[in-house]
This record gives sequence, structure tokens and C-alpha cells, in this order.
Amino acid sequence: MMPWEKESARLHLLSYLAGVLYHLGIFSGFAVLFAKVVDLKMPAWGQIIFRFGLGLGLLSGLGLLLKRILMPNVRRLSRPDDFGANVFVDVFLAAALAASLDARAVTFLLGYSIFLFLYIPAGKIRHCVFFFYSRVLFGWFFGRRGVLPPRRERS
Amino acid sequence: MSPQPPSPGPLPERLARLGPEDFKAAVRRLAKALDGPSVVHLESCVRCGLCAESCHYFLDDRDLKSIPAYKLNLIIRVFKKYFSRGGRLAPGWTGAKNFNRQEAGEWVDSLFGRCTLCGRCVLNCTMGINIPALVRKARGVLASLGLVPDGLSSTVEMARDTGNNMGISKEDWVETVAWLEDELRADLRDPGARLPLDLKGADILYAVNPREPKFYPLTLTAVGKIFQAAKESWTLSSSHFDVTNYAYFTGDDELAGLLASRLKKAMEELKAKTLVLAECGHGFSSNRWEAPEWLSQKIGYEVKSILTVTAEYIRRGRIRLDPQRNLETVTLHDPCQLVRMGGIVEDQRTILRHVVKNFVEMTPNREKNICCGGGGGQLSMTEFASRRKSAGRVKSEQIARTKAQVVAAPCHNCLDQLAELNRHYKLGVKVKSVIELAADALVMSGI
Repeated sequence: MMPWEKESARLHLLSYLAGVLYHLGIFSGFAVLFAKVVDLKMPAWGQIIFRFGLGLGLLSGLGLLLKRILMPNVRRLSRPDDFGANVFVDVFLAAALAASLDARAVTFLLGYSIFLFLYIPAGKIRHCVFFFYSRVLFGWFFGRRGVLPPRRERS
Repeated sequence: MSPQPPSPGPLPERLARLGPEDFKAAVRRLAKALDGPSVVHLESCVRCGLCAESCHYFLDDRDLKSIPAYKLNLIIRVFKKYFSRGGRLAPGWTGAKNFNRQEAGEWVDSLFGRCTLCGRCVLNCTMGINIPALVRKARGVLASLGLVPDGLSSTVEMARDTGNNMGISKEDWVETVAWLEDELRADLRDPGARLPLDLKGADILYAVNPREPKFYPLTLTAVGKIFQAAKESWTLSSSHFDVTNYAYFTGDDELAGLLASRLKKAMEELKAKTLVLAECGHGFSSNRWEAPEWLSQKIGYEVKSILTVTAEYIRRGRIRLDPQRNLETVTLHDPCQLVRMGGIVEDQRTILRHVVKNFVEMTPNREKNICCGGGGGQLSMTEFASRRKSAGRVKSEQIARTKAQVVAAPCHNCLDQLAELNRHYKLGVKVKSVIELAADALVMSGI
């Protein structure tokens, strides 16, 4: 089911886009981390794309954190882990952005990444693994029943 | 496990009598109920809250407790406490909670009282979490504690003990069919017209919603007319005729399997080829999709909705219809269990386009349609009746916007809820089943 088909995405377009950018930023962060670990030299245009992705991702992450703090229903739905996971990832994005701009920040990025990778299985961030299974189950459920993709008949 | 009466009496009293051992047993029951996909879904919620407006309860009351993610997280926090290391080590950080009397009370209020299992939240969930499937499992845990609301529990018990949810005796059923057969013959002016009972080797076994013989007998003659016009080989069973399965709503899979097995038994006894189900949303979902899971076996026959069969007659030219016989503007309500959770999306539209002159869609429609509020066993749970009617406001506004004079719905729970909304919100519409409209438009020699 594509995003524009989803009422929740249309009603919360800004949050939805922020979520997409946030996760693109995270993938950019992993790319920067990988490049630093294997000492890969990125072309200038690649660095610009990843910095752009990291910057937008960081802004989106902070925006989503503000939303979680400021919107009463979302705040009341949340647990400390939800705020914590957001902050931990935002720090990672900031560290990756800093490391891509200044070599002095690489050590912090590497150290912080160890902490983050240790935290992932313990907290909310592990949804990154379950997301893919969940979407497969979603497709299997509605696909098998013939609900999605929609088949329209004009007769 | 079946709906318990270990502690009879009103629900709050039953809840008050439960002790720590009961809750430990309930957690073991939850562990048994949670399979791989359930765990994936429980681990996937990020509490983004984007699902809120997909729920008609939330659209009505804007209450945190009506947000699907809130309802899901009632289950998640217990899951975390007992089945996740993070939840055990840092319950405050992960939101993990013990399952106790207070928690069970909240489960009853939210998972029975604020959910129709309509599945609209699933389509709108960023992660694709099957929330109603998890709510059903949690309801099963509540059923093991004897915490199913009284009306719903007694409906299930009625079906378990008498063979159908209305408690119709075999004698009454056979007599009703005989009377309706006379009506059918008179209507069609055809002494050969039949509502066949226990006809062995018929192509179709037709299962009814017991509300039809009890309160809406003409729905059954309407189906009889369609089968007669199509020259179909079909039969009813005198023993097992109930398409409904209210154990689907209590989450009691064992009992749901028992109820579903009865139609299977009738199919085998009568050696019919296709089981055709009356207009019933959860009856379709139960018998078509869930029964093989409950019975842990493949069903060796086709299961179809009467809508699919009628639409096939139309496409193949087996019945003649005159839309001029239904001149009022008709709109269609899509029952959640039949459409979004069942996959019967276009057949009812094919029928309506051929049997009414003016057909208008609601917005949104099909798999995106808004629940009427009558599903999930809500009509049986008087405790939550005012909430149900209030949440139905969203559907009533949707109907009013169409300016239709007739609302068609292929589901008896929906028809009952829509009739109630019609009175409550003074909509001034007629509420009819799709098959009734089709029968009214039939062109036959006698009519």
C-alpha cells in the first residue's frame, strides 16, 4: 500500500515525511560510519549527498522529538524508551555529520556507535529489524485475502 | 478453553474475585496465544500515533484510550513485563507492567469496549501491525479469566449449547423453512418453488444468519428467489445452519473451531460442493479465512459469500434483473469483516449496479470504509452501548453526506447497527440488505 493511498500518511503528511527523512538520514549515517571504519574515500559529491541526508535526518529527528514532547496524546502514548531512542539516534546523526565535516569527530562517532549498536537489541530501536517482517506479514495477510492490491471492477 | 463461568455475576464482581494465581494463569495463556507473527507485531509499534484517526472511536471522542496504538500498547506492556529481557530489567524505561486486576479491567474496557476489530488501523499503521489479531488474542486471555462481557458471553454460550446463536430449535427451524417455502411459492406463483432442506448431493449448502429466520424471514425467501431464478442446485441443512461465530469476537479459538466445525460437518453429511454464506461479515471471515486455522486442517470445499454467487449469476446471465424496480438512491456500507478483512469488495457493487437505478458510493469506501460500530461483538455488549452509538456518529455523517434514501449493507450486525443509527441520528433512510434489493429487482415469470 503506497503512502499516498494511506489516510494516516495524508492526514499527517509532515510527520510522515519527517519519518521518511529521518530514516534516510540514519542510512546516510550508517554509510558515513562504514566509510570511516574501512577508511573509504568518498567523492566530493557523495559527501555532499550524505551531509545533506544527515542534516535533514537530524532536523527531522529533532522535529519528531518535539512532536512527541508537545503533542499530549503522543506524549502520553510514549515511554521513556521512545524519547531515549530518538535522542540516541539524533546524537548518532549529529556525530556522523560532524565526522563527515571534521576528522576530529571520527573517534567520537566510532565510540558512540559501539554504544548505539549495543543498545539496539535492548530497546525500541530494534523495530528496525521487525519492521521488515511486519510489512511482509501485512502483505501476506491482505494479499492472500484479495484485499490488496485493490482490484476494481467496472460492470 | 471456553467462555468461563468460573465466577458468575456481573463483570466488576468477577474481576474483583480474581487473585494472583488467576493472573499468572492468564499470562501463561497469553504466552500460548502469542505466535511468531504476534511477537513481530508487538515488537514493531513505535507509538507514532498516526493510527489515531483511523479509529471511529477516536474520531468521535478524541480520547487517548481510543487510539489504536494505546489499545495495542496495553498488550505490549504486559508482553514486555513477562516476555522481554528489557521489560524485566527496566520496566520503567520500557513501560512494562504487571498483569493484575487493574490492568485486566483496562483491557476489558479498551479491548472489548473500544474496538470492533474492524482493521482500519492496520491499513493505516506505518508498520502494518495487525492490531485486531492481537486484540483477539488478548480477548482470549480475558475469556480464560471469565471476563467476557455478559451479553457477548451468553451469545457464544447459546451457540455452543443449542447449535445457533438465537437458540432456534431444530423443530422451529424446519417449520420456519416450510412456512417460508409456502411464502416463496405464493410470491412466485410457482407450486414447484422450493427451499430445499437436507438435499443430499446439492451443489450448494446455504448457511444463514439465525437472525434471518428469527427476525427477517423474508431475507431467506429473497435468497430462495435468486436460487430459483438461477435454477441452482442448493439446500439448507436442518441440523447446522448458523453462519455466525461469536467466539471469533471473544478470541476463544477452541470454541470458534467447534462452531466452525459444524458447517463442515453439514457439508460432509450432505456431500455439497460449495458452502455459501449468508450476508454476514464476521461469518464470512470466520468460515472462509479463520476456520482452517482453528481446525488446523484444509477445508475440502469452496466457501463463498452469497454476494459472490449472485454476482456470478449476473455476469453469466443466469438471472434477469430490472433496476427500475429500485428507483430510490442507494448507497452501500462496506462491512469491515467482509470487505477489508474478507476480500469481498466488488461483488456487492456488481449486484447493486444491476439492481438499483441510482447507486452512490460513500467516501471513503471499499477497504478504506469506516466501521459502522456494530462489529466486534459490540451489539451484544450492552455495557458499551452508549459508546457504540456515539462512535457510530462518524458512519451516520458519512451516510448523510451521500443524500441516499436507502443504505444497503451485506451484514446483519451492520444492518442492526445502521438501523439503530438511523433512529438515533434521525437519518431518515431505509436500511436494507443487498440480497433483498436484488430479489426485488428479479425478473421471473411469476413476478
